Amino acid sequence: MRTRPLLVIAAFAALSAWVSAQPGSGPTAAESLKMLRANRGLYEDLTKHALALGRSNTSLDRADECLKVTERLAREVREAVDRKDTDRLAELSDHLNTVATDGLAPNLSAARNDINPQSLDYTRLQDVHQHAFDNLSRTATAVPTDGELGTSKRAKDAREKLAAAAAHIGPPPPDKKVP
Amino acid sequence: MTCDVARNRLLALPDPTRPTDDLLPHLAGCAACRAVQAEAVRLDALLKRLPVPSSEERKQAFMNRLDTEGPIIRTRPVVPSTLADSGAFKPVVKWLKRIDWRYVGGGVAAAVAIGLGIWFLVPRNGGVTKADPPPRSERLERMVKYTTDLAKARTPQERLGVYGNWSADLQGEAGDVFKVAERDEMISLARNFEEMVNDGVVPQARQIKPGDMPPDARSQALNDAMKKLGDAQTEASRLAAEAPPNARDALQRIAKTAQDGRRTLSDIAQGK
Repeated sequence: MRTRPLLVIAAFAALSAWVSAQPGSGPTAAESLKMLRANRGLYEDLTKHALALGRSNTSLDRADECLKVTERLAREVREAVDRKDTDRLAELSDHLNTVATDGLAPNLSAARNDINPQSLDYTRLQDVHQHAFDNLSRTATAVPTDGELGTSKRAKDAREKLAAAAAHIGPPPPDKKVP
Repeated sequence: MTCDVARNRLLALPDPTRPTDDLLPHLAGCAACRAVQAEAVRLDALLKRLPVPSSEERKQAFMNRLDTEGPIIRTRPVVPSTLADSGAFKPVVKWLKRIDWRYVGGGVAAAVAIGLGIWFLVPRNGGVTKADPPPRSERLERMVKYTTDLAKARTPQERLGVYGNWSADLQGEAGDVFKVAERDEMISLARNFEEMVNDGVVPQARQIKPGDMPPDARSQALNDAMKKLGDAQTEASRLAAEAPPNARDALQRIAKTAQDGRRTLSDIAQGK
């Protein structure tokens, strides 16, 4: 007598769970194409940098390759600023911050541990480090603080992220190389 | 009952000499309404005395004209019988009457609650919902992640895994857009795929020497990469069969690259 109502409830619950578990509709082909067109150049360049990273045998080489990736992403950030595209600015700033924090910084740090200040590589390390810091600092200051773009929350967040990444890298320590 | 109501009802009667029961109490106590009733009775009698002209000749002439012109409605209209009238739904109606709708309401409420719960708890699209305003590319996000993975990778085995994932993503990208992309866009993806397999996956697989790691771990790493390439080959071949002409070449190129890469990895695994 009581089984029918329970079966009705169970059937509804199962149906509901099944509907909810269906995969969310991903981007349409047109949306994917739009993203491909926005990112095609980046895909190609990131592919090349990724392959170069695989061929890099030292921390300094990897830091150098990561620097190139951050420079490429920084270019995209500046273009987003020029276009006043806050969505793109936010997206690329996140990626730039990720590469600087998770790729560049650990390799710079490892290279500094590995490389003797008396060696030839030390000059290159200082150079890579300085470039990395300058690139991130310049990119952070390229995001305006005023105007419609500069006062938006997304631009403010992007600027803070980029400034944090620059601070994370920091300037290279004073040159210890003995002349 | 007010006088207005009583008089309206009196005037609506077919025979004002015979008021209905509900009017009688009012008429008994209201002289004005009784006067109205008397007037209505008198008017009715006067109307009945008016002469009525005979219409027989006109009526006959009208009927003759209709007969001459034939029937206006030539077919007999049929009122369609509905399924409901046919009694086909009687068992359903009977069953519905037996349902305790309180439990159905409970079921709907439970379903809504469970659905909402799953909706909020289960991440959709990797945590980024499609409705989020910025159309962020999840693929670009993954490529950035792969880049940092490579920056941290120290062994060929780790790099092989990343390149395998990257190749799969490029094939996935081609699969997402092949119906709408231009030919050069598809070719660009196929070229990236080739670079990733030929300059990434294969060289890293070659660097995993048999003596560098336990045989099982080496086999596992190579098999994982082979599986990714096998999947990419199968999917690209399938899509190529249904692709428009401008995308077919690129998808076939991806399938061929995956097939060759997989074969090479198989040779490496066998020590050839």
